[in-house]
Amino acid sequence: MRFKNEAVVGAVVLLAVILVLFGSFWLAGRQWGVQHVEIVAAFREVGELREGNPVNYRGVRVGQVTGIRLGPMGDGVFVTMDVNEELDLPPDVGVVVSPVSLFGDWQAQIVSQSAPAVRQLEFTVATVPDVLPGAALPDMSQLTAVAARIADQVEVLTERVELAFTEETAIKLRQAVGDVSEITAQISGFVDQQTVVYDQVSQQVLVATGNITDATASVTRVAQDLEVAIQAGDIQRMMANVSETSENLRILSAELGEATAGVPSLITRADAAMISFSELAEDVRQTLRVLEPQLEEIGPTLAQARQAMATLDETIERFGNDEGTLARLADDPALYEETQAAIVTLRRLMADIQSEPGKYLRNIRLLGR
Amino acid sequence: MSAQRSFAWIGAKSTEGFAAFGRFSSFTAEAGRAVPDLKTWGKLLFPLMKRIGVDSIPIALFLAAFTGIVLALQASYTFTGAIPMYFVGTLVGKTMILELGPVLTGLALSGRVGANIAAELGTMRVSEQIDALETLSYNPHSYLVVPRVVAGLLMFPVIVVFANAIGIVSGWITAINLLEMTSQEFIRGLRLFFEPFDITYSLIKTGSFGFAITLIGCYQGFTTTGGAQGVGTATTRAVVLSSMMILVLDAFWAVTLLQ
Repeated sequence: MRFKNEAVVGAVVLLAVILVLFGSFWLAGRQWGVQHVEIVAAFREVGELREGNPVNYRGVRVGQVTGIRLGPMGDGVFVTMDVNEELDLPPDVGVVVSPVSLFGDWQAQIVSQSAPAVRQLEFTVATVPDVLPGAALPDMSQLTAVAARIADQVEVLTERVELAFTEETAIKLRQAVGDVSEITAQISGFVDQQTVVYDQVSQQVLVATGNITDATASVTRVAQDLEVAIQAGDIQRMMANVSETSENLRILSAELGEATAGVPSLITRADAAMISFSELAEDVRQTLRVLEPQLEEIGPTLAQARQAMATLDETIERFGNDEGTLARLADDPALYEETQAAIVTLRRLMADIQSEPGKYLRNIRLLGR
Repeated sequence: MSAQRSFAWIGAKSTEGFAAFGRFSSFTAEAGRAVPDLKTWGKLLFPLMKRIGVDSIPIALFLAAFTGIVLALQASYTFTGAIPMYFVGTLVGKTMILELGPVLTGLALSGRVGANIAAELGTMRVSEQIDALETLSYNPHSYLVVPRVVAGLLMFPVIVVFANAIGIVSGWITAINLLEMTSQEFIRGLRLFFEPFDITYSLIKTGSFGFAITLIGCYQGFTTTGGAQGVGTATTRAVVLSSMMILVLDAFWAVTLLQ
């Protein structure tokens, strides 16, 4: 009986001990058969972090917080964590403690300090070796308190807006909305136009790009040709020719310089001659204007003279044909001589009239002199 | 005259209280002095451990199971709204381990164990069996008090371990079946704020309860007078004092260990 009691009690006690150990291990979130290593991180403060809180890496639980203690100077907090031995920590590893929810449950996250989400955090770096830098996010309750204050202020603002929003305000607001709508339509039209222009510009740019591409290809070809020419010695010959041509041009330029040295005086004289010609033309115009009535008068005279000459020629012809009295007179050598002399005289008279009509006409001046 | 009588009443009660405290302290000191007599009380220990501990497990588990169910349901009833439901697991676990497991088990065992001890020893006292032991030069504390107190000290934490486990499991089952929670949610809440010290705290507190209940039961039994009526009075007084002492110790440990 005694041994039976001892066995029963022993079994119950043993079962209770196993239950306590297993329960503690399980409730603490420990993993069976996983070796742990201890890491320590330094923080300025750790918020509501407590022993037993999870340690996560990339959202996966890899350990738990096992100790929190103040630094020796009281200016920081050292947090000890047990993490899986197989965990490969990033090179710039840091630890961030943060609230998980609004209800005070916190966690420690192993992060890379260069990760975008934590890059702006100020990590606390301890002077003690083998201590990871750490940073703490603000408690969500503080954020909630701030949000509550903002909500209160928004409520006050809403009340004031409600007081200020009268019927007149509504009308003005409606007008403003209409104006805004109109402006929006204009802007939309403008944007459409600019879009068309932009399309055109784009197409032109595309064409220009094509041209540039072609030009580039041409330049490339020229460069290739140039390279070939350089290699063949053509450029050297061209440069020699150019040099020779330049020398010739220089000589020609000098000669032209000399030749053109008298050009200014010639031009000056030409200008003077042109001026004289101009003045002469003006005089001729005036003379012709003056001669116009006289010419009208000399016209009948000349006609009469021409008629007289015709008559004379006819007479002479008759004379040559021995017709008339005069021809018959011609048979007389003396008479012929006299007549011949009279004809010569008459021709001189006609020539004189033609050369100097002023002797025979009133107020005739030739060339204004 | 009435004032004088009042002062006299207060003085008499104070003297009576100090005298009772002195007797209890003397009784405790006698029990302490009997502890080294392991040869005497050691052979009595395991039967008492079975009777006090193992035999008390069913009632403790019964209480814990229903306590877990009620905790889960009341938590969900309270948490409707902004608080996530996985906190049901947190509340069930924390409450069972830190408070209700030890206290309810202690109160239940104060009735079962404390009353049993007080009645047994009271009967021995009124039937002069204890006097006979003293006459035969046996230390009644070594025979009667120490093994019961040690059994209570050792087995109460064992009982509470099972009670806590059953309470949490019953709350878990309730959460899954009645609250449309998943096991993952419940376990998340259960683990959320768990600290190993919670179990240590629970065991320390429960051990003190076992010590207090058995010691008070033994004292009340040892000081029983007046026959069967005296046994009844001693039993009642043992249960009442044990229950009060449980609550006092509960507050004491909370102030001492949770601050």
